[in-house]
Amino acid sequence: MIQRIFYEAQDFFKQIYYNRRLIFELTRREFRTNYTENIFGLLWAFLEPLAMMTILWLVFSFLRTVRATDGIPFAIYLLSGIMAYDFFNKGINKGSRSVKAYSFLVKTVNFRIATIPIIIISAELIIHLIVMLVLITILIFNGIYPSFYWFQVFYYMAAQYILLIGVCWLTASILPFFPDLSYIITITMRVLFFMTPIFWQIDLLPEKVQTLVSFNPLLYTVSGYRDSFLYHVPFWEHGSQTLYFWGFTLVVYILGITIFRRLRPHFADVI
Amino acid sequence: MLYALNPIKSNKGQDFYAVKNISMTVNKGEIVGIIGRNGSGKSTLLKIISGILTPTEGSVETVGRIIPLLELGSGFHPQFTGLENIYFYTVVLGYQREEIEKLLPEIIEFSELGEFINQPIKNYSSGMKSRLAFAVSILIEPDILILDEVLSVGDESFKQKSFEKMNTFFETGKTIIFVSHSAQQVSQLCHRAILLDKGEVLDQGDTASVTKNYKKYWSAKGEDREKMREDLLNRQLKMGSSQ
Repeated sequence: MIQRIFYEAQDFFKQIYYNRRLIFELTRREFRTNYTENIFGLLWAFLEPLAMMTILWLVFSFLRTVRATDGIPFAIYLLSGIMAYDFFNKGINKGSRSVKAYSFLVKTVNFRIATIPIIIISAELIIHLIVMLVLITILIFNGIYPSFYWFQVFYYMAAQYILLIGVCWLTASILPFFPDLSYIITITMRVLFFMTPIFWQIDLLPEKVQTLVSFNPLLYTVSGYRDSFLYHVPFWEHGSQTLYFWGFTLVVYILGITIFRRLRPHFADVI
Repeated sequence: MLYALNPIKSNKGQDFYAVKNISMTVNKGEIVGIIGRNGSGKSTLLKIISGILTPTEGSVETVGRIIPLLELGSGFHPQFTGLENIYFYTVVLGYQREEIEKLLPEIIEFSELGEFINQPIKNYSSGMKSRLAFAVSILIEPDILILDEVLSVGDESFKQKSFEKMNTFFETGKTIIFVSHSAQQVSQLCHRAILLDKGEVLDQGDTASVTKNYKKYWSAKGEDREKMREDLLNRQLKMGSSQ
């Protein structure tokens, strides 16, 4: 059976690779639609996380419980966490709905549908990169200067990107058959927002709860962004977390690819 | 050879076959017409041939680039302009940018859209969308062109232009599968025809005789028609088994 999964995955990725030109072109176009529709366009991409950060910061300034962040101003701690999380949040929400959103293609053209989530997520990645530029400017403004560790952000970014694609293959293929999934995803992400150390630190929690939280793969990526920008901690210092994350991702991929392939022949009938 | 069986389960749990026991071959350079009333399974068949729908049983083998023209203009992204959609649609179909750049002026001219090519598709009338879709599809020179009742829209001059274009297209050795419920259009254009009714092939062969049967079939009433249907189906079975 493992051989079969391996073979299917190989074929799947070969098809994707074969379509890389298509993915590139369509990502460009998808990215453009993101800002041509609104007047302020791309500005909203960072206004939104910025607003979230401001509110949280104001609230917690009055609470005084979550102060100790190892010398980093709380606002910075917040902002880096939120922006890291936002990429995944946007990615999974848009990515899961992507096949449904492109139903006009699914129904009328013989098209490599698996490329659709990749296109949507890649367009989100471009926006995320721009958001990161803004974040870097804010960091420098606050006296946090570049170091080699900053390059590690790309590793965590790639990790999120890879996990996103796997998850979206899973969710986007199920959604046309089970639209309620849309709400389940929104709610899950909202819950995850509170279960990821974005506006609190993990060491504030009791040991047992810490273990529970460590099952959240986003813990790895969000604290990873912080490790890179702020604390200068290399990823290999989190050996078990790293293994867990990639193991989790592998399982997601196996599920995602298998289910996608099974459901794909029926998309045009239900979408 | 393709043999397809395509059920869609209705609420009562009965099997509904949009298309059943179809076996057909189309050779390069042919223009084949598929003729039938609404609900006969024509569009479903086309979607199966172009790979959009997957048959429950059976397989389809095609050689070459297929462009399906179904529900005109529905492969377009509503937010993009006409021009952007030309790029979008062709990229989706697997063409490279460079190929399209060369054909761009001709496509825009054929569609007769002029300045409107820079307007978003959502503002187009259905006629405009059809013209653009047709212009793109025929000028990018697919190996196999599949047309689903697309020549019913557009004014006379556009229809005329389209027919001419289709004729030149065919003369370069391409294949066209043309679907219509108009016997007249089919006889004008096609060498061979296939008569479809309730998902099954009732007749196939030379256009003149098939269209004659088509007219005869639908002018017959009730029992006569049932009888004719049985005869035709039996004849198909015999022809199939003798091959």
